[in-house]
Amino acid sequence: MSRVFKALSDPTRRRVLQLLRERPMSAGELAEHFPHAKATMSAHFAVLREADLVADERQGKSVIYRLRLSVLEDALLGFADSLGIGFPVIAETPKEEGAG
Amino acid sequence: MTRKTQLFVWSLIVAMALVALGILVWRADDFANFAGLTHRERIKLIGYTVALLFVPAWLALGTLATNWMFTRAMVAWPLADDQRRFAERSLIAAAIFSAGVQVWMAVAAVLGEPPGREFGVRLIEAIAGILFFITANFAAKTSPPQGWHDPGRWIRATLRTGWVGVAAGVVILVSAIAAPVGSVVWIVGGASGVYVLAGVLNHLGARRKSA
Repeated sequence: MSRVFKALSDPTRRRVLQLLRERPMSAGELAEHFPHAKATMSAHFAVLREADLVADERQGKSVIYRLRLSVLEDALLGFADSLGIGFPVIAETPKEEGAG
Repeated sequence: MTRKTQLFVWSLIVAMALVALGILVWRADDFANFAGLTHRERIKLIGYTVALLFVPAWLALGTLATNWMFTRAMVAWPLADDQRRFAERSLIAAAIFSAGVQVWMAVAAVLGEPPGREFGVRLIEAIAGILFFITANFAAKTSPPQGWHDPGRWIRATLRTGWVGVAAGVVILVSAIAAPVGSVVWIVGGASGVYVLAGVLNHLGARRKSA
């Protein structure tokens, strides 16, 4: 269960799961949606695989990822998304004295 | 289905059917003296008879349906291995649960009154709710049939059905604690019906080819 929490705590990985909800996609297709390097995306895919949230299948030279969520995991995904878990908190900038 | 699973489930069905017939033979005198029974005694006798025969019949029907699904699917779309394993395990769990219910009803038929009646009914309902919850939760993780034309649509349909099943399990579990005992049959029947309907509708939708 801790692997699931770890996997869902990152917004990039949650976005990958949302994309896979539409249809299974190759690693390359998924990576096109993100500004990260290949190695970074591979690491994300590995975390999702370890948490058993995605299944992978080799088709020729490509690896195709497919969504593999239970209902509870889907609920956790929605919960984490709605709370914005993993997004950096933007601190309010203090107002300068005498401004305005 | 594997031979092991078939052997296990059909053995349980046969044992349950024999228990039912044995109880009916044991209470043959009551059937012979049916007209002399009070109204309440007649209702109980009919109720136990129907229940004792219904449970193995229902399980047998479910097993035949599962087997048909496996063999038919093998012709059209071979089931994924995890889907096949999941279906077999769910059937085994249902068979064991049914056997437990049958034993409880058999004791009730022999004693004339279910042991710990209200507690027993609520316990059975709670276990049914938990089984619903677990089965529906993990069903959504199974793979689409091999070569399915739109795996994404299948996965979404299975997840939607899973949500309905989990909700049904929660309703059954909560009613096991809070609802009147007399409403058990309606609640379990209603929740099951909604789950089955959701499954059928969602997967009929999943069969539609994308434009």
